[in-house]
Amino acid sequence: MAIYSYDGTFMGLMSLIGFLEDKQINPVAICDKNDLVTDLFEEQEDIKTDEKRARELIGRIVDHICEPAFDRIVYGFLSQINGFEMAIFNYLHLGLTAGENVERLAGDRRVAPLRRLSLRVGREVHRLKGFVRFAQLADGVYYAQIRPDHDVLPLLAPHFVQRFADQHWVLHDLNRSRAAMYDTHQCEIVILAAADSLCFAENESHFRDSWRRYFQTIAIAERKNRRLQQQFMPRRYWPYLTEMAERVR
Amino acid sequence: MILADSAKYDVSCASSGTFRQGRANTLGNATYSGICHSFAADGRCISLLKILMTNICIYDCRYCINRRSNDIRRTLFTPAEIADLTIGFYRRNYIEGLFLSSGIVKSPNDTMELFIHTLKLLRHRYRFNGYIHVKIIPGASAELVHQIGFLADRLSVNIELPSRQSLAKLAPDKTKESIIVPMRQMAGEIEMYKMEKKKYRHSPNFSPSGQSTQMIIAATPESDYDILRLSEHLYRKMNLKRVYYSAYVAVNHDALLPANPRPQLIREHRLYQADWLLRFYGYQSHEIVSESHPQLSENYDPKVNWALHHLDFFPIEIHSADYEDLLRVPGIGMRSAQKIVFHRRAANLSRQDLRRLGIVYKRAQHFITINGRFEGGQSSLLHSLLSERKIERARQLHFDFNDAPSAVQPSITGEL
Repeated sequence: MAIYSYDGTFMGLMSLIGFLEDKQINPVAICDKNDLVTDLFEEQEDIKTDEKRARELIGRIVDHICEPAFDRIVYGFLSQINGFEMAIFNYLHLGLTAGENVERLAGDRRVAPLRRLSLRVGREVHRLKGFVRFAQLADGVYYAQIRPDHDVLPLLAPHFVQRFADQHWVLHDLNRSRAAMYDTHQCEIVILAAADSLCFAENESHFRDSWRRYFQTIAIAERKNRRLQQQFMPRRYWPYLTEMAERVR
Repeated sequence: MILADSAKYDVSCASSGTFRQGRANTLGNATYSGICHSFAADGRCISLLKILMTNICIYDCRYCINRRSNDIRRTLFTPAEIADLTIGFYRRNYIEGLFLSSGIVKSPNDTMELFIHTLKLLRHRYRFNGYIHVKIIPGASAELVHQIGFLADRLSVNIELPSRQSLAKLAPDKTKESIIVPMRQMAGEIEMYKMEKKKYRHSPNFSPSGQSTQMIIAATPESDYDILRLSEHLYRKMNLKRVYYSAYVAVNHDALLPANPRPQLIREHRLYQADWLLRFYGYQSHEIVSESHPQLSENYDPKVNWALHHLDFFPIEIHSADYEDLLRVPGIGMRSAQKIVFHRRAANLSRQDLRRLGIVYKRAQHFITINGRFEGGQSSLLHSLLSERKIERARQLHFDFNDAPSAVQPSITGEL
């Protein structure tokens, strides 16, 4: 019994869990070695990332559990909510013996926590597919800022690669100072600090103003229902929504 | 923005039903589930740029803001302007696509040709792959309907009013035939090209997301029974994807129209609930309303209403009941029923499990058994079916639960 740490990457976590499964160890806790606090009472062990072992485990997940199970684990990892490592470990530990039935055990205490995490991430990704707002910069690039609760860039980027295949765009996660950049050929995620000021394209304000006016006109006054609006479009997204930004200030 | 102002009364905003992958050097894709991009102050989702080509109109439909006899400012978009705005919005991820409608310039066919011109610009010049929904103008020629089907994702022609008499009274320039004929043609072509697609992978898509329609509620005397029978017919015989109901909003003063100050939102809501029962829950319209009870209850949703009239059907055992029967339990929706069927194969489900799967247990408990055990009580039945707020309102309005079916009466006093 000990606390195990890994390097904070997905492959690192997969290596660690692969190691624990091989040795049939039940850990007390799993954590990122960067936030590890020295604990006098528990033994600590750091497991190095081992690509081969990680790939082996991923292969076993896909073959012996099912593909949705792998997605669930990835989503859980991207939630980055306290305790996600143990949620993944418990789910996998059961899954590797129960097989695809693990997806049928939504109520089980080893399955429910990871399910909750992955659903939260999935919901945020779906919402952001709609709520991301791009603005064209003077150099022609479309630029958008978001502040998501979870690390959703890797899940959002493929959607926009599909959608805006013929335009240069940058999707900037201000919370994590990272950005997905796409140049009509490939998309990569890079580290990017927030810019002080942005220089917008000439016709940007035309489209922005048209959209704001459209947004105000489309509502039917007789059916006004602010509560319903806010229920679907939570306030925390407003600062980055072209049509709502003014209401925040 | 005058033209968006008039378009807002079109209800549909669905962007779902088509799946089209993005391709290199083209703009846009369509996702099967649809995406909402924003929500207006009335709480309705904004997914498409809903816009009228023009608010010039040669017709004089009584309920319409753009009718010929209204003295309003008239404007006209060119196809290029619409295409430009659509692309500009789409590239900024404001919208999922375009919803194009129009007043009628010169003739139905002239208007349709403007549509086709716009769509060709978008699809060919801008290589736009996103979602497009077009309104078919009643009375348009078969050839134009045929052409536009290859350019759009969804077509719709509005029924407007639920009976021939009302249509003649309020929309004297439209006839039932001018609406039904293109609707039937589209139903046929959609079906045909879908079959074709199964045989030849590269055969063209004809309105791949199907067709829908819309009607105005509470402007004319038709009962819910008439409306739902019509909807059922449209779903079963014409294969429509959706029928939209729109509570009448008074925009014109007209002796032929009711002068109701508020749109009847509850009635609209109940009709949508009934509509879902028809489409996804395997109900027939005569189970929901009948000639002797032609209106939906305001207090109960139609599913609860059916359950209360058929207490002998319940309780059912969740571990063995068919999917179709599970769907009839108040508190269990489509998703919950699917989850029950999926999860019960691997585990015995407890009350907590059901809650975790998203079943509204408070409501469902009165209609189910879990491993043969019945946990519902009849005394709290009515209260659990009506939310607190509604009970309060019913009291304020001095309803004495009159429309509660007689079968429940003993349960209020704790018998049964």
